Amino acid sequence: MASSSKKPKEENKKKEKSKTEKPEKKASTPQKSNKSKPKPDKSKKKSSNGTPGIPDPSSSTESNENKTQKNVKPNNKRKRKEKEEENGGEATVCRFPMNRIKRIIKSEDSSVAISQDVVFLVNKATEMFLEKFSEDGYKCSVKDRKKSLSYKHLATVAHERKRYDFLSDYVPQKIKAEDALKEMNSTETGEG
Amino acid sequence: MVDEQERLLPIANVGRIMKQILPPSAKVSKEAKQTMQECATEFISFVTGEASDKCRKENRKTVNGDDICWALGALGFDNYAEAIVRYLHKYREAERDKATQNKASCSRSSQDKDEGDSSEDKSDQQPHQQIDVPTPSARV
Repeated sequence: MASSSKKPKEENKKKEKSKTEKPEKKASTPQKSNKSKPKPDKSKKKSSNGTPGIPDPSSSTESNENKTQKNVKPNNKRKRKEKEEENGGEATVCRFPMNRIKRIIKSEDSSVAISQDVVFLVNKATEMFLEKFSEDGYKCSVKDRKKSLSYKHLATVAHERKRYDFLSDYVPQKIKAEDALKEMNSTETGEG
Repeated sequence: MVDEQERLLPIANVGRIMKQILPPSAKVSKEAKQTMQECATEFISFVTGEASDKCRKENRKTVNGDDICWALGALGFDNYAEAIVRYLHKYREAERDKATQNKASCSRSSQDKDEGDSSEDKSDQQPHQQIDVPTPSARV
């Protein structure tokens, strides 16, 4: 309520837009509320924590007009974010917390000084890596005729592709315990 | 004693990226997500380790964006390197736009502080996902 009194100008602008958007939104909200309720709430709450104090004029207009505030707000935030992404903002939106990336880099080598560019680029590169590795893993699961991407598929991909050699210690292929014991015994008898 | 989860990327973010890239019908096991978390963390160490080695050999103290681009190419992630270079330019553009906006709005007192802070680590002040660009000028 308080937010609506703060920015009347923006409300008027948004009302003009919302007039055209209203029928679409009303038709879509019941569907979206059934299916995607948990997802937008969780994901958008995180993003709203990240953005420092940016008011939501679109959400203020909707909250006044619609009864179901909970359903409307995440949809508005998601649409606003989609608009930003359409404008090319996706190029600069980061998926991972910068602090965490910085901490990981520092744990690797604490003496190195890093610029802000680096943290952003590492963020983006990691995102691309995750996407690529997931895709490759999924192709493997499709070959295996499984609907679920599991550890085994990731291990197979890491083992087969040279590019993922650096992950060989992190995603070893699983072997049965008896096979492992046999190997251990054979190496021990070989040494002894 | 560092908490295990603290030294890895957040699993929620990892899971979200995976779900977005995979088809809607695909499922991901929890073990796979945890594995991805560790692999992504290792990827960060791998790339920045290579970049920092290069800087050390060249007697430079600060790793910059170009070093990361080089490291990606050197480690066999050539296709990432090309896209990353574009992201780097866009990011620098966005930062420049932000800086000029800040100067215009707060030109009296915070001008010097902003210029000084923009080049250094600012871990405490920056919240998560701070690089949302308000201006629509950044386009592919």
